[in-house]
Amino acid sequence: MGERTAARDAEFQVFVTTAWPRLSRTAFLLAGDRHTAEDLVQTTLEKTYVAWARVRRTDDPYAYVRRILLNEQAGRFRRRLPEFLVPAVPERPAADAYDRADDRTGLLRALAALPPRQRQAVVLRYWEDLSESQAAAAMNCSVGTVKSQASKGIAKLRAAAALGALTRVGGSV
Amino acid sequence: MNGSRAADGRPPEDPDGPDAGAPLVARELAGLAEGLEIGPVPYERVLAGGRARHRRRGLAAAAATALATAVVIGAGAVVAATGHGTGSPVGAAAAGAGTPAASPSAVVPAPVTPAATTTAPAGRDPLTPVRAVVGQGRTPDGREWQAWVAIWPAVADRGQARAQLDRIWEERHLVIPGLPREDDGYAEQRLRSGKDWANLYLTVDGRRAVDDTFHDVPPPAAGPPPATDRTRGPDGALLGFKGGELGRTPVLIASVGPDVASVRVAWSDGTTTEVTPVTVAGSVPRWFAVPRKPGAAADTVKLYGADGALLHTSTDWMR
Repeated sequence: MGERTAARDAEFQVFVTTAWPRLSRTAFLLAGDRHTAEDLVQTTLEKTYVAWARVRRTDDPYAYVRRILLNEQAGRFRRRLPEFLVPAVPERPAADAYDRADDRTGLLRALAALPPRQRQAVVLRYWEDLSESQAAAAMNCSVGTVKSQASKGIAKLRAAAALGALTRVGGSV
Repeated sequence: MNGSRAADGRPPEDPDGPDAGAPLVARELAGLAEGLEIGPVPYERVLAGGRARHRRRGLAAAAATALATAVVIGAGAVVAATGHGTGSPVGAAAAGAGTPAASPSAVVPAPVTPAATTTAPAGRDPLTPVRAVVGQGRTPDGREWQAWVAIWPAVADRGQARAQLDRIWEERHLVIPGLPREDDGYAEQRLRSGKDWANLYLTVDGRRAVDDTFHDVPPPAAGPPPATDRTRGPDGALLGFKGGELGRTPVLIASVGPDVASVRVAWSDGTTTEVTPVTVAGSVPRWFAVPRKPGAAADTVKLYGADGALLHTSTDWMR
């Protein structure tokens, strides 16, 4: 392996180890389960590796990679529509430490039932904490679309019994 | 990543408005996302997958270029044969054929240039540590232990430093009831260090053990650490004494440079134990855990590179 490749790989490794937690969490909200999320993030980072020379030169490499993640997730939705629309959570004999996060199935289910653009808008605005213009850039759409998609998404989540239940039991952990 | 920020350019939430419930959603999304425990980063898999994609892309580009060249040459032959401009549309078709495979946009999306970008390192949250199990096994009496590393990112201001110390105190206080709170002077010290903080601890049968420790580790923004050599051995701690959860078989949890591929412990009874360091998200050093062998001491702890080269020998641990 040449010095240039080694340096590139070292730089890429630093980015991967830094970005992995947040990408995983965003992917988890977009995908609805941990395993799909991990797969999504891994594929995203493989594609990032291919484009690393370009990614590293951008002002905000994470924003670039997040967009790869969104496109990858949208592509999977198009390929696997039936499974994605109804992410039934099977009963499990015992939850491991990783699966405990899945126990908030109410909101997760409601989120997963949203159409993908609404889900992306909600996750980008209210988890990634992006402004409307940043979310629009990430979703490759207009600010107006982000506003309407996020509003519709919030309205559906509000209507879902899950959110009411979460409010009653005291909110987040 | 929080539930309190007002939406950009919008008035405070209208309880009956279209976005009513957004703060609650933000808070619950944060709870959901942060409740996800992050495992070790499968960096080697990512790298292997990325390289495979890179090769495939190179082959596709080469094939497309070869096809385009062949068609252009063919078109040139047609021009030469007919003596007029029939080659031009053929050449255009060739360029069209080559574009999809050769264009980077067929593989990844176009770069994003948000209106207001920050260069914050991938949004690391000092109040949300990344946790990973770096080793596990059973005690001589059959209880299951796990060695954990929790990476608390470096803080950016006094408020974060204070909040991070409080968050850590709440977590440790559950198993150490008499634990005093750290004062603001310590928060200031934590801020000045500019380092990530690695909390090393054990769980025994799923319960966090009393014995734990903190180590400063360089944040990823500091870049790759220098190569491991004779002077840079493992940095860690032998845990399991306080509380006596592990009796006479404490566990060494330690970090090594990313160039270390395996750790071999030679015991005084002539046997050896070999473990592979794992990559933890948010940590440039890699981590490993190895329990002390009952009835034996460690003669050496040796670090090896991926090519089998001996990088370092320690004689200080588990003697």
